[in-house]
Amino acid sequence: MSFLLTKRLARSLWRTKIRLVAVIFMVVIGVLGGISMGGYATNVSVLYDNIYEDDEDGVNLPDIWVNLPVGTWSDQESQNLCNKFGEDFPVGSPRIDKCEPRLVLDGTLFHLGNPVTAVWHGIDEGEVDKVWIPDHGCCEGRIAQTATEVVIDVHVAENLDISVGSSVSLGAGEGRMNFTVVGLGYHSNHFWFAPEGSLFPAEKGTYVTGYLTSEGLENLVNLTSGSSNKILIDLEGTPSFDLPTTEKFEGDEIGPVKAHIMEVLLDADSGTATVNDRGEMFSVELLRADLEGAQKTFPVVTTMLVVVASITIIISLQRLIQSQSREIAIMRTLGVPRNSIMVGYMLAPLIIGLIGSSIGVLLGVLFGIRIMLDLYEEIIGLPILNETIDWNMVAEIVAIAMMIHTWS
Amino acid sequence: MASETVKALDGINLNIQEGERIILLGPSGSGKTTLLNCLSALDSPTEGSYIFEGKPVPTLPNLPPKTRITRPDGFFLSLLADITNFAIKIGLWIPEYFSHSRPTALSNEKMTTFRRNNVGYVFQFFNLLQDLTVMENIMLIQEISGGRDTNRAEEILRLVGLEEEMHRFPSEISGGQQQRVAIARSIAKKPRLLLGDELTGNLDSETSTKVMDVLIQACKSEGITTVMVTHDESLAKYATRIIRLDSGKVKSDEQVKSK
Repeated sequence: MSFLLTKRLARSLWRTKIRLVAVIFMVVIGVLGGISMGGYATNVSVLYDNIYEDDEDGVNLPDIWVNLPVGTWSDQESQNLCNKFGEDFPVGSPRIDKCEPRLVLDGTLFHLGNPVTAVWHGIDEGEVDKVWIPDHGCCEGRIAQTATEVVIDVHVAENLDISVGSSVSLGAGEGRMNFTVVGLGYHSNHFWFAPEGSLFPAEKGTYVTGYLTSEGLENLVNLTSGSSNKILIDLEGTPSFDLPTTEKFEGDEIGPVKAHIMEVLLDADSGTATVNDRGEMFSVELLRADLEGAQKTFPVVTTMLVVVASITIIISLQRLIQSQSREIAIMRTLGVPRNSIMVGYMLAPLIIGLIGSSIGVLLGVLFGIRIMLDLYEEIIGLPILNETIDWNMVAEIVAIAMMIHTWS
Repeated sequence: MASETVKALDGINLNIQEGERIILLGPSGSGKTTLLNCLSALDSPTEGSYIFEGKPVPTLPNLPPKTRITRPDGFFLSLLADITNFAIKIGLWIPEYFSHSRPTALSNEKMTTFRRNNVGYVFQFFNLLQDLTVMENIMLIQEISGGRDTNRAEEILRLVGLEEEMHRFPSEISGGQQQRVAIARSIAKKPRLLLGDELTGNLDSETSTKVMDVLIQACKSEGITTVMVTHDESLAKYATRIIRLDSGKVKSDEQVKSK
């Protein structure tokens, strides 16, 4: 390709720099949007995987929640149920790994003289659905270990001016006791910090969750030791569960287990209890759906934005060629080969796409992903522990952009 | 209404010797520009031949227009044919592609190569590339003809008196200067044949004289054969041969003793 022909075309394009800049800007927006959303999806996906993991840093999210809406099981009853759940287990279904009774009660926090609606979890140093206190600036302290200690959810601690070492007054039922805050952390049921029955997050200072020891909560409401109203079941592996957003039943693996547990509950006169999988847990499902939405949306958004950019490039180049038809004719008359002229006009959109993509990648990696994650942290309230950049995803988005340009 | 065939050129038979400076004179519509276009392989004669240095010059193929393509067997191919025929019917570009495009494109490319290798062309309206400087306009022609030669480009610009303007863009210099650049561009690649179409038609008489002096000096020094179309009888003094055309025919063809 002739150097001077390239130079001529570059100057021609530069003469219409407003149009050129607009086209590059649109490509930048497309790639930036894709990378920002893709980066969001990647980081959030990694975050959830890490949180829900059954390891030292994860909470070991249960696969099945058994909820008793009214009353409690005694220690003996819940242990019997756990034992029976493991008997006559459906053939071919994932086995029960852990079965842990839990007491969760509605209550009140008396803060600065005002009562605030609350939910209290009695959580010992269990093996399932633990309190999550990551090694991060968001959180501090440790889990409750004695009957007078409590961990307050990070979502509310700052708003209520509660920190580690604060003394708070907790109420539940008829009981009211003072507790010492020993940690600020999160719980999987309240990652999306909305009161039960509400879709939207609670207004600041109107809703509190706290995580006590089971003994502490039993003392607060004057229940016998080992009382529980939930049983958390962790199965081996991570079986598929049913998604409420689809009509299809996807929980083929977990379905028979749930049916078996329900049968056991009916036999044990606990027929009012409900059996839920992950898809029926509001906070867990909402975050999963949000993540799935981001994962599905970012290629579509990128494609849409890049298609619009490509149409602009096509129109722009068409006008450029129209406006240069006389000069092209002159070049042909002077003996310039057709290919030498055409190569430039074919390479121009590619180069424009490359420039736009490069700027988009740079902005996306440096700022876009961070802005999206800041937004996530602001809205959801969970910290992104290790921000990562998935270069495969970046390459995929650039490939989408370049393919659409080339095709155009 | 019956259509009437107009012959732009009719029975032209010319033999041009190397180094001649020919002026083509004649009224508007006499066929001067058509003859120039045939000589430069911008256009092709419908009959006859054009031999350049003993070899035939490529011409456009005389293909009959094709108005329909045959419907092949098979659902998809016949559907494609139907769509194509519909496009032909409503006058899209497709008929050209299916009828003429490929052979025409090949011939066009051969004609372009002929021009590139042999012909320099100077236009009435200069036709410089506006996004290249004076120097770059000249070097582009060198570049496509085999290789850039900065020294020669500078030498030619000195010859036409524009060495000071080499880094200016065409829009920054006068019409006379632009025409001198066009002359410099046309001789930069040492063409065998230089063609000029009303090359002083857009200039005042003083500038015309300067431009013609430059052109003739350059052609003499480079030994270039020149054919120029003009209305201006006063340019006859620069010619070694004057051909007068009328209604597409040679009216007179005379050798003259030039300055």
